[in-house]
Amino acid sequence: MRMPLLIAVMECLATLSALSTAPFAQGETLDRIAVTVGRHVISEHDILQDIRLSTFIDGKQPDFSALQKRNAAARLIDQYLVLEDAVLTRTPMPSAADVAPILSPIRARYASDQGYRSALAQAHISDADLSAQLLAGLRMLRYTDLRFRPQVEVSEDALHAYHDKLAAPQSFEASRNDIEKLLTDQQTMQALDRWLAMARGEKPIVYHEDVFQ
Amino acid sequence: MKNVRPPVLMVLPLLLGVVAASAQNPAGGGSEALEGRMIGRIDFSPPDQPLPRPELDRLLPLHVGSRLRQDDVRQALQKLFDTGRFSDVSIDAEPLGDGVALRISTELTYFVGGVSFEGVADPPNRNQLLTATKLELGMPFVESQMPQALTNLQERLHANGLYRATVHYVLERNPVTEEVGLHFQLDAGPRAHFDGVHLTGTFERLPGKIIRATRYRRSFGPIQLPGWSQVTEERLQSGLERVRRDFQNQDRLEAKVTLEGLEYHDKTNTVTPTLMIDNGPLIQVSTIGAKVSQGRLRQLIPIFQERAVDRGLLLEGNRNLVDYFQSQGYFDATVDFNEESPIPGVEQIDYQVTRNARHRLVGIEITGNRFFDIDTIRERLSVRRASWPGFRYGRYSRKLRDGDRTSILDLYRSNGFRDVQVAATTLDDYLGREANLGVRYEIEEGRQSIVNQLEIEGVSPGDEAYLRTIIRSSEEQPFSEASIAADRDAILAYFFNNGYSEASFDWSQTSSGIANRENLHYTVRLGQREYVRDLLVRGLETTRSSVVLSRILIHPGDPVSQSLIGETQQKLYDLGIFSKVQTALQNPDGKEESKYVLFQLDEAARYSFNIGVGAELAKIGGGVTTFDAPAGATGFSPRITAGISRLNFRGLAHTVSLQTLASTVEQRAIASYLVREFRGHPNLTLTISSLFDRSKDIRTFASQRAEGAVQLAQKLTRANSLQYRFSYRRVSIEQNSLKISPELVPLLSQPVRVGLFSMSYIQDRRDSPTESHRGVYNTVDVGIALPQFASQTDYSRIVLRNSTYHPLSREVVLARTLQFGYVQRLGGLAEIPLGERFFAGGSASQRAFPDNQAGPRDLETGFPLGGNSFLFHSTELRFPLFGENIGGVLFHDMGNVYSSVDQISFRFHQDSYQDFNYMVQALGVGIRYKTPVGPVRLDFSYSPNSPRFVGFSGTRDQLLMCNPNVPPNQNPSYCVGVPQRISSFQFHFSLGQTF
Repeated sequence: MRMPLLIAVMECLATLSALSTAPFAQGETLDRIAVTVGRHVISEHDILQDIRLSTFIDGKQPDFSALQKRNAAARLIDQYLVLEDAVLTRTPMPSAADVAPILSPIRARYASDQGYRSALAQAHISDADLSAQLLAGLRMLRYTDLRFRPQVEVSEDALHAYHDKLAAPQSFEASRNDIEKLLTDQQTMQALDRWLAMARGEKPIVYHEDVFQ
Repeated sequence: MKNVRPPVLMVLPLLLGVVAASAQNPAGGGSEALEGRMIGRIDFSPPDQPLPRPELDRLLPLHVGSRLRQDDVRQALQKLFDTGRFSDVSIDAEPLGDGVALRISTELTYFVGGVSFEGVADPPNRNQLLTATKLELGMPFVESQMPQALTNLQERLHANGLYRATVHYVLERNPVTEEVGLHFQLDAGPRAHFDGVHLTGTFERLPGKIIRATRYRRSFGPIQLPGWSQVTEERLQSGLERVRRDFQNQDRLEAKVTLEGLEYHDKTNTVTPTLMIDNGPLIQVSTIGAKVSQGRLRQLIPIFQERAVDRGLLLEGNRNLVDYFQSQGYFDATVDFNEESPIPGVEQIDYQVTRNARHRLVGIEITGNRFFDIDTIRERLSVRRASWPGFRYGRYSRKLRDGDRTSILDLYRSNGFRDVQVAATTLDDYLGREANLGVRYEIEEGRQSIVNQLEIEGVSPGDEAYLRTIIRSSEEQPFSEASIAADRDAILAYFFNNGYSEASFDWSQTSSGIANRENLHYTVRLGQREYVRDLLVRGLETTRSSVVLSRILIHPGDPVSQSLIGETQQKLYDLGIFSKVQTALQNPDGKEESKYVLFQLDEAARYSFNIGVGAELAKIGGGVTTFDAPAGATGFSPRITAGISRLNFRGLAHTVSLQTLASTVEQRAIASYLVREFRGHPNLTLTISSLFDRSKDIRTFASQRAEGAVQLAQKLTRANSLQYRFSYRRVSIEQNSLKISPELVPLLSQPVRVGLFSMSYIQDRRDSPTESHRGVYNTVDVGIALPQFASQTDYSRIVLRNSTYHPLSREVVLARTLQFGYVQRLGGLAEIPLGERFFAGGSASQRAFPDNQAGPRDLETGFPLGGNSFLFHSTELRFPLFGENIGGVLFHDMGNVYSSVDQISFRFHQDSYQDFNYMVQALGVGIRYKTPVGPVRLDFSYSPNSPRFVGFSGTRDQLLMCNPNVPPNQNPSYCVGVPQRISSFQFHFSLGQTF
């Protein structure tokens, strides 16, 4: 009795398997163009991978909705524009060795190295992918700092105005450095945004909408 | 149990298959299950791809037999997109046994293949419309560009008053070449008219005057006509500009006139422009301390050109004034300015000029130069010593002096003297004279750096061998950055023209260990080489494609060469049948091995017309039927020319034309058929022509000439060319126009047919044909008329010319020319007929004579008879006279037309009134005014030995009554000859240098 049952189970599994592999017969899309920025291609795989990596870093579950795909595409476009300009302007960039300090807190979330690797595998990403993602982020930051932060000048009036708006209990002098850093960061990011808007305008950016359905 | 194992083994892969199938889920990580499988097959969808399969195989990192890797898939997408040939790419996979089959699906990119317009109502013309579409030949095309292109076209049409225009377009896609032809169909509709002008803003001028200045009303010159003009963009803008100028002329330099709007009235199809005017303050500019005309001030003070007043422009005006006074000899001149507003709305700008003493630059000293001689350095100087009459005070300013210093530095540095020092000093009271000035350039050359060794990296040995022949910085040559820059340009040009459009160049320098000897290292990165896939010639309507293809210098399989494409473009323009020749690479930014080269041709209008009027003022006057003024009287002859040409006859790029001329002394019609690049030979030009000419340019007779000719011109080299010519003509003399002795009439003036074969050799080594400063110009023309050519008169003739030009200084030229001609009767008629003789003298040969008045004359009437030989020699000293555009000439002409070659004589004196075989001399001066088409020329000559002769003062009937064979006292009194002389003073006015 056991043998026919086993065979029946196996046949059932085989049928299920056949059903699940049906798409193979029609051809599975390995990758396709999702966005082009000038002559640079951002593929669907790049977008999905970015979602996986960014959610892994944030400790969240990936969301592959159309909206998140668009957000990821926008991030990758910005990243490409910044890194392309960094190469053109020979801006000094961080190296792979600089990633370790920011990778270690992520690893520290897991009890063991095995747990970390298991989580990576579950997220369908590799340690190298994660390092590369962090390095790209670091490069964005470095570029922003070197390119835009020196241009930012926060006036004394702006510092006072912000302090008054906060209505903080601390005196202006006590919170001056914090406010200055905050406003500098804000204005640096605003400068980056302005530059990105300009850079986006200079290159034809084409979305292949099928990918974002 | 053994029976059970196989199903388990069968299930495991299937279970894995479940995992693999789930990999399609984004959360599952894509194609992980297929990662590492062997690629068994790669198909393309569609199967026919724009790139050849071998090129795709070379391009893609995915190959049959290799393992599938996601990174390679990603890279394949990028590589395919990089080619520019695809607008979309996706890569699918399906299991193939243990491996995997890949299918690469592509969507083609289309490229702009040509834009044509139908129904154009110029303006806007085709080019303006094409520019408006922003569709560039060879660039990628997406249909989403079309709405913007249509909007841009409508804007252009509206701007030109075509408000009712409609535009449609048709796209024609060619998937094989991925071209899109765009055909715009325009229905322009009626053009709108202005119906008034609305003025707003602040201005102190009568509106009527402003509207008049726009010229939007109909007018004929200064006369206003009823109604308004049609709207065109050019008319609209020039109207604004005229109003601005009008205000500027009223010293409102900052007047702002802008078009605020165009109100279109659909019912009447009219437009009312609204002009916003702010006339700004009244700005008055004057000089104190020295008088400068308003015209000169407008040239020197840039506020007039810029229509704005600011300190920078006023300072520039200050500097220009200083330069101006320095150029007038006031080398110590100082200028300052003051700006004030004496009353509201008025700005007064006063330039205070202190000229100080006037100087003359009498000396330019150059010291310390060893490597270059003085002349080489002097050639580069802008300052110049005083010389009369062109530069009475010399040319000097501190700016020029310092500019010269820089020129000397550049000269040395470009020859390896990197440490060269040049000091420029102005020397007051030069050589002890108070008003004199000198300039001294003291040069410290330093050591010359030499290239010790040159290495070129990144090129093949063959290319390196060639490059070493063209670069400047080879071993033992001076080391300089200027030479390296020139080498970079030469090297990159070489590779760009051999298909390496991405070639880049870098250089470095290291010390050789020996003083002043540097090692150079050139690094060339070639990038991918591009070849011509095919030629796409578009836009031909009537022209035969063979005409174009035979002139294209680049062919499929050749490396892409921009210089050959440019040369081809020039050759196509040279045909004269295309109004526009666009060339482009299709998909210029795409990374592919071979590319289409596009030629988009717009055929020119097939018919062209020309008409001109002019007049001749020379010694061409005198009685028509009477025998007075055999040497010519000052006469005036108006003339009109008209012509029509049919270009691109039968689509062969041949030209058929008819040119006519009518004046009181000549009527002429020439029909010609011109074949450039005859039988495909770029150096051959065939001309078949027929001519009818009736002329009275020779005072002695009026002739009619009917002639047919065939000429083949062959360009041997840039300087040398040959012409082979056969002409057949019938020349008849109008008997009642003859002003020669009746006895000579049967001998010289019978109608005659001449068949003449002739050849010309032309050698032109002049630096400029219109204004030669150096070089040689030689021509040899030989011809023979024989009975075998159905000629009634048989003769041979030769005409030689040798001209040389010698620069005595930068602007002074000594020019000379020798002309010799000889015609020898071989048979047929007893004498060379009048129409075949040499008639010469005048502005182009011998300025002692009016036109065609040299040589033997009729002993009875005194009119010129022409001769069988001539010899002329002219010498000219050409020099600048006033400023840059007016020059002067001193000349000496000698020579004459002789009755025969053995009568050529250098004798100064005329032996008798019957002797014309002597050498007439002329001295003279001339003025030349430079124009873009050559100098306008006015020459005055004096001849101490102009010919004397005996003329006849009577009518033709009276002449017939005179019998030369009887004693004079037996003839009527009017038969007695009247001694005359060609005036010793002559003037000549014409265009172009004498030779």
